[in-house]
Amino acid sequence: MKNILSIIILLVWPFYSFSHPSSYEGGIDLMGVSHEKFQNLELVYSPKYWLGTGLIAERRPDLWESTSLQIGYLAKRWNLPAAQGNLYLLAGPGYGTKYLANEKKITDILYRLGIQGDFETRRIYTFAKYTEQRFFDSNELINNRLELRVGYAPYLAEFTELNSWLILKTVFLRDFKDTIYIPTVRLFYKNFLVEFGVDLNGGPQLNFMVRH
Amino acid sequence: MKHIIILLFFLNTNFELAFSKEVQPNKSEPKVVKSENIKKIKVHGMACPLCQSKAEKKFREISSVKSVHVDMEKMLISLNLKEGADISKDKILPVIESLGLTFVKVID
Repeated sequence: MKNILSIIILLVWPFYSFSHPSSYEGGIDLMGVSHEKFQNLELVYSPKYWLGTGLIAERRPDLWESTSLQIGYLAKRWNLPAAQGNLYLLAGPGYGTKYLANEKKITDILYRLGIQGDFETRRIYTFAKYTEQRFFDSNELINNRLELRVGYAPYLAEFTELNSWLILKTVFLRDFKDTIYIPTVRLFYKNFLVEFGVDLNGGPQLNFMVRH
Repeated sequence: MKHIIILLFFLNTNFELAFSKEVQPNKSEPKVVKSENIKKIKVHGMACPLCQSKAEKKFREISSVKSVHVDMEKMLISLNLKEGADISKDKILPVIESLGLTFVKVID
């Protein structure tokens, strides 16, 4: 079961890289993240372009895991002649487990909060997202995560042509105690995407996607 | 003089024949020039190829639209409408809104 979940996460991981917490009206997005220190699977339906309703399952092996609902609200969008900027607010309830020392654990209702901003042209891509989850009763922090991305497209392409991006991802985990840098090459053509990345510890990443 | 009149008559007849051949339309193959029924929409906010794909998909759902072309460089969405069909601004605006883009103007 774990292996099947891992394969699904690997298959859908690239969705996460260019998806927003809400997309266009009626849009459905499946997103995922697969890394040894963080795994995430997210299904989002957008009844409006400014509102996304999501179901999220995520975990860090041996430290915590959770399943939660998320409302993604587009608080502000800047539509410029050749660029777009977005600011999203994220919130929702959930249920999760935090694993402690000596095989102890806490399982309880939680809430998640977050904020996400991005700005992109056809050449430049910037992204920042902060999320945290806390137990509802005790307000104890389960996890938090900050991710920054900056990307560059070496050439311009249409949807029906091969698109390429060079992206540097920086992820801060566990109250900024863990920092991961992942230089990534992304290629996509129509609904097919493949992504190669290696973090600075040598951990390779190979991702691909077929979008229906 | 008689010869001149005969010559002029002969030439005139030949001119008439030649002219009538030139102007008479070929009834079996009528020549009709059709112009494409295209409406262009200028927008702001289209920054990625996925926006292009979404816009094409959404506009193709409109029954009067035959095909859609999105020019990312010029930020133009070109709607190739069915013969005799038209599309009003009132029909275009909700689609642009649902895509999260900003409508600028319609170029006929």
